[in-house]
Amino acid sequence: MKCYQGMGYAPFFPSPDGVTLQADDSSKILVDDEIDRFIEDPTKFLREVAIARRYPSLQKESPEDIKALTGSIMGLVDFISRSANRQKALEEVYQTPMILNSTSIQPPLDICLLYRGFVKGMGDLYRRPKQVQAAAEAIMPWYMPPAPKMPDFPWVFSTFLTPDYLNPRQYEKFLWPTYKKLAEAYSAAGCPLLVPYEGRWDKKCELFAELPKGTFVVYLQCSEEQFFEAQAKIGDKVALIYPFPLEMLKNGTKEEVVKHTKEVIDRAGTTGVIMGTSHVLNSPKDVNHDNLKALSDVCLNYRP
Amino acid sequence: MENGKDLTQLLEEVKKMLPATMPDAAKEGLIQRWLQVMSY
Repeated sequence: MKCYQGMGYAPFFPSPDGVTLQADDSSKILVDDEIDRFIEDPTKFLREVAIARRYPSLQKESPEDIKALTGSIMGLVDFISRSANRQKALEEVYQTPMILNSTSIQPPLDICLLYRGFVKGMGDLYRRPKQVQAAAEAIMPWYMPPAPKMPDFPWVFSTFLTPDYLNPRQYEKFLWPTYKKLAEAYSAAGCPLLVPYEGRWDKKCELFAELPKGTFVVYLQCSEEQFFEAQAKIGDKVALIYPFPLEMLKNGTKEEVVKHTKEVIDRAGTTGVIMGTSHVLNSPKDVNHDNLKALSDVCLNYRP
Repeated sequence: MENGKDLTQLLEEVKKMLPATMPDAAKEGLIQRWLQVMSY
């Protein structure tokens, strides 16, 4: 993103494949003796201490500092503008419905760990648990709904970074309390959260069923059989995205796809289930287009 | 100012450069989003 250019530091760097971005874990945002000050007012702390420390260009004398700052903020404006244009083109030119609105949230604990750096942050769960909980509470207002009432579609994107690194007790103690408050607020606002949930989700995912029906649309990283296990546990409260096998969509025959789609619908039903693919489609060659159309046709027209 | 630099005044300067037609709440929202993006 252009907002990092000219700032003297970039928190992301490309992997050896030249494509995938990695985050620098030496966060430089929150060091040990600053946590209480951060808890007191996180936004003030970012403005007054952390951001300028992280980006050397902001430490320069005037007018170089203001020049770097202006360039960075305008870089973000450019990014927002390009995203809006891309969305408009997808909607108007390619007739692709947007399933996500411009709001996205993260569990406050994820942000705390990000600010501390993953290595230090995970240690904090043992060394300073009360501060971690207080910091998550302090960050939570950032992610509250932007309005008391929101349209029920498109949805809000809700990403998770850390659940796979937390044991169930840590998950319930540190991540869930503040995230649950956010989810309750979006539920009250009327806008579902779309959650892509990677890694081991079993016990942790069951907590989603504590929220009212319609709060979550969840895309679990799972096999077809695991989908049905999850559906049996939380399917009456949580909408689940079905992992239709991508290998069949790419290499199978149209007849195989039609048959399997009907089998899935027969077993999963037509309520609280959204047909998806077992892996994300990243390029046109990831799938046989005729098979994808056959899948779509069956979903639209077949009712057991 | 300790271990860094207070950006409050600089951010106020940048807000003045944003279009006058932009509501104050939108300007503050942009600054808030920038702070979050730059802290990731």
